[in-house]
Amino acid sequence: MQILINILQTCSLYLIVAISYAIIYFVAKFFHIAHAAVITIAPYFVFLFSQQCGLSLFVALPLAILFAVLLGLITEQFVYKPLRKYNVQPFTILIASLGLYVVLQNIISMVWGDATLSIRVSEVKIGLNIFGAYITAIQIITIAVSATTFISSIIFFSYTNLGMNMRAVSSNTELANIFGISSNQIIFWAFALGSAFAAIAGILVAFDTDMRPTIGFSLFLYGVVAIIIGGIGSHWGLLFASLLLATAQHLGAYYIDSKWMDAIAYLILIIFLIFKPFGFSGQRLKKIEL
Amino acid sequence: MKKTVYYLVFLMLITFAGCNNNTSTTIKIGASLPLTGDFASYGKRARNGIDLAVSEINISKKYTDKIEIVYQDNKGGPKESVNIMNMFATINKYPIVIGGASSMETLAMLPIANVNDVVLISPISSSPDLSMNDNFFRVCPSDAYQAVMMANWLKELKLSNVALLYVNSNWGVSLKNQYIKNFEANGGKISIIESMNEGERDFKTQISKIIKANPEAIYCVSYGAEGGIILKQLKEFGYKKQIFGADVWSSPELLKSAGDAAEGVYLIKPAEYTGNRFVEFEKKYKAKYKENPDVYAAYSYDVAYIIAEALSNTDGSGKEVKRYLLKMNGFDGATGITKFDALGDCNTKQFVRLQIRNGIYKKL
Repeated sequence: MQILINILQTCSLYLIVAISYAIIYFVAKFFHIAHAAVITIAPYFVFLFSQQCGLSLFVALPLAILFAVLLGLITEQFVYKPLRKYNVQPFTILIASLGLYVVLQNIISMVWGDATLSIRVSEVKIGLNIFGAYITAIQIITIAVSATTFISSIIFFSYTNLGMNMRAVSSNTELANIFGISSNQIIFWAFALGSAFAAIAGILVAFDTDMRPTIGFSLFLYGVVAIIIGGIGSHWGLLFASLLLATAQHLGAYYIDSKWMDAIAYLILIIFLIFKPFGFSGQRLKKIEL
Repeated sequence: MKKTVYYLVFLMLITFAGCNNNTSTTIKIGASLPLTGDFASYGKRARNGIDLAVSEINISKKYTDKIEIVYQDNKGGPKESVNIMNMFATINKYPIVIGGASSMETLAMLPIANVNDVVLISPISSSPDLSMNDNFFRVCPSDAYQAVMMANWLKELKLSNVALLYVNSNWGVSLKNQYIKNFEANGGKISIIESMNEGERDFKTQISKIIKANPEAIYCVSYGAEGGIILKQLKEFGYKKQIFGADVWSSPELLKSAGDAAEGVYLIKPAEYTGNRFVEFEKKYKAKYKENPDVYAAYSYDVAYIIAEALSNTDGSGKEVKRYLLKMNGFDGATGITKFDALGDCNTKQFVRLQIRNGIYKKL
């Protein structure tokens, strides 16, 4: 039972990160590694506003998400957009993005230090006991937020104007431009939305297990693995991929050894790349390079 | 033409610089420490301690030889450490090298020191793998010693069924092995052994397994950052029995992360010496660096003094220095008496048992 709850929580986290990144990758189609920095910086903003400036959490949380979104947008406006103007290869953008991540991560450790920081406010409490398993309030919130994100993202892409425009840009950028949809504007919105979800994921993790300047990257990597396994553009694929990853990792750690948690995740990735390179959903996306 | 003049001036400058070096009579000592990277906090405090000691040695009348320390940043990595050690030993030909904060760095440097007859002294590295009959000395106690102390403590408390959770690093694995050896020799039974990776943030699976095995207590060999989260998650899982930690759990990071979940946790660590020499050192250190010294700064301070002693009592070659250190009478420094055994270890330092009560470490 305990292991089930552990799996559920990990799966929820992977799912939020996967969705946040899928939105950006779906539309912009390049590797935005600095996304990991957005995940990391959000809880640090919470720390800044709530503990260093003394604001209440209800003000600090939205502010932190807003600032993290701003960071995502700044990277898009001032780094990626100028690069796209020169029609560079996605590979070049990948390298630029990697450099950006290293710079941002080092800025975080310069400002706040490398040591663990905590944004938790209450005392550590014994978790709620459900059938002999323990679950804490923040874990329940994580699972609930993840479910909400999942459902609202499905609705967004199927029923709203912006969502459908994003799909249009994703399937054929030039054609969408001809039909009067500005691809740059749509990518801008994708970055805003993706960064907001990333910030939420980062804050949830930090509330549970505190933060260091490197927490974003491993979470981001698992998100990317989930996207590759699940296939881009399929919500159910992402859900199944996150669930598969979390289950394999936790069961592997439980029955074999926790040393193997990372190895198992990448083993699954390799198996999928060999046998089902387009992911669970099997959808072949057009025009994807890299 | 202009270029040629520049080259000539440049050449002259180099020659003069060389001349200056030759006329100085101070003895140069190499120091390979992590001044940037994950272990930078250790390296920087070690440098502070050494610098403080050297500034005193060079104005004192007791030591005829003046010392100059040449620092190189090994970034906490074995690769850089090897490069630096090669340079120190074969190009600079320094007789003594201070170094290695983490045991990983020191283990990488030691073979080069042995081949070139260089004495390697570390203020921080505690891995038992370094205890060999060779050119290595350290002023901090070996982990083998800590493992013995922990096993004896558990025996005194009549805890014979204890779970073990350790971090998969050079330090964690060697302390784990030593502990298992001693604990089982004392008649203890290890109910379950679980590992974690450095930098991991979620230990729920390991903790689930440990709680299911139902031990009488848990001994956890991990760093402070991981330790804090482990304690928090143990409490969230309703674990109420005793928890024991390694010496590095005496870090502020652990308390910050664990908060009230750290209450009642036991640990052992090398005792902070409180004799006159330490009080004096603490006062000078605070005046110079405007912060409190930790035990590693004090160890490093002693290292510099021990080197000064060795240099003024020998001809300054690596072989002679080694011979002197092995038969040196106890050196009375800021961390108490330092006397090396045949393996270059220092087992004259005391350990202290602590418990966390109301957010502070209380001596037991």
